[in-house]
Amino acid sequence: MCAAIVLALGMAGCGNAQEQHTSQSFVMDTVFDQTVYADTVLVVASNTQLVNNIEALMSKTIPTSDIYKINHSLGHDVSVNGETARVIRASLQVAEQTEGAFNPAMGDIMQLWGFGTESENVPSPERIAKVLELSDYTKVEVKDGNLVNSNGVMLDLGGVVKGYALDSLKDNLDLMGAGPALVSLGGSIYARGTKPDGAPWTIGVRDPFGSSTDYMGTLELTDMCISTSGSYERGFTEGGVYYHHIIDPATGYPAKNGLVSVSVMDEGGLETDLYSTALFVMGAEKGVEFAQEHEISALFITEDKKLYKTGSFVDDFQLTDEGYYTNH
Amino acid sequence: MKNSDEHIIKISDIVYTAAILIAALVIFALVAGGGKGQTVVFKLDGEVLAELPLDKDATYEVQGAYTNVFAIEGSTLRVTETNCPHQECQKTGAVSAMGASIVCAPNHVSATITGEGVEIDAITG
Repeated sequence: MCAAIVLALGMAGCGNAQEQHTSQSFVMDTVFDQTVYADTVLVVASNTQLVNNIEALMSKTIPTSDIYKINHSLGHDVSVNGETARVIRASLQVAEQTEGAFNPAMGDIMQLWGFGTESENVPSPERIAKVLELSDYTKVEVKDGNLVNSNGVMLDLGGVVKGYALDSLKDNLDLMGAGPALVSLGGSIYARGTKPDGAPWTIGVRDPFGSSTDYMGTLELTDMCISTSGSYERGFTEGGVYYHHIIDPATGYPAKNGLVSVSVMDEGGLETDLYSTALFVMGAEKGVEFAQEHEISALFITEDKKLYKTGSFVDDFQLTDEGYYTNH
Repeated sequence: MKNSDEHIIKISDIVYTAAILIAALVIFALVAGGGKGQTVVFKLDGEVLAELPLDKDATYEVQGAYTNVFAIEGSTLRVTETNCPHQECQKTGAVSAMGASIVCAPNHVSATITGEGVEIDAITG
């Protein structure tokens, strides 16, 4: 009888307007929140399954994943899912475009540092120099027929999977005829349509100097994605020094250029994730130049609270915290 | 004599289950209806465990794979004790803003402050 009551209440709202469905799950080591207006509650479960499927393909730790197989293939061709091949290809393109600021071949270096695991530690300069030689993304080949040969290099798609998931979610929501939606996967967000009352989705940009729920400015997003790379996440302290997890592929050490976060917005989720990482590594000066040159909308926050904005951030970003200084 | 206790569903089990279901339905109705006042919604694996008012001091313990102890004090929410791997939830400190939440990812737990007047829909960071 209780089940009947729950079912009845669940169906009670099924009128003309699409119903709001929300869900929270944990995947890719982070929180996945969804708010979707749709005709069926099945959408949220479908979305959750989809993100889990992506993790199953692209996680570097799941032994049956494409990435794990590539990383343990000892220089042989590995047949992978078309999605994996696509993501690797896109990653390699951006790696080349950014001259390695984004590098999908950081598996060895990230494993050495051990961020987020019990073995997180500061490796010796000798060991870092050694694994640096193993992070050559130019060795990775993606061949016709979705064959990948990493030629001994270890892939790590941590800096791109969440953004890719946003694109997949968009396609899934299209497929299922969903209305407005807001999906957030560890801070990578896709804002679809506008809320039923006509108001746009309002996204806060996390205050790097506050807690995870403090924000220093807002953006109204419609049919857009946004991702942020910040030095405040997944770092650790050793010997009184804080080491963040965005490793500069050129040095093997956390990027140390005065930036604390970079946010990128774009219609494509994959782009937001790839470029937020790359621009963070580049630093403000080179990053702003690159973003302007390639028409990327980005927000750079420095450790002395200066802001640099390119593209749509210039007009659309509303600063809500007076403690920041906007340049130009 | 055969011990048949293990297969008997006690009356108290039914009452308890019904109470939880009714509470869940009430919470559903409140959230769906837009809610009133600031409340903290505790979730484990996405399922609502409890909803407590933010303006009443209380402690609330969640047992998942790990244990998180939450404290509502002076209209703020924080984790006072936890045995999860990195204690990120505890390091979050105290939150009080509408829409703010404290998450313990390893434990699949979240505690969110809800109510009317949420300014933002999500935070990127």
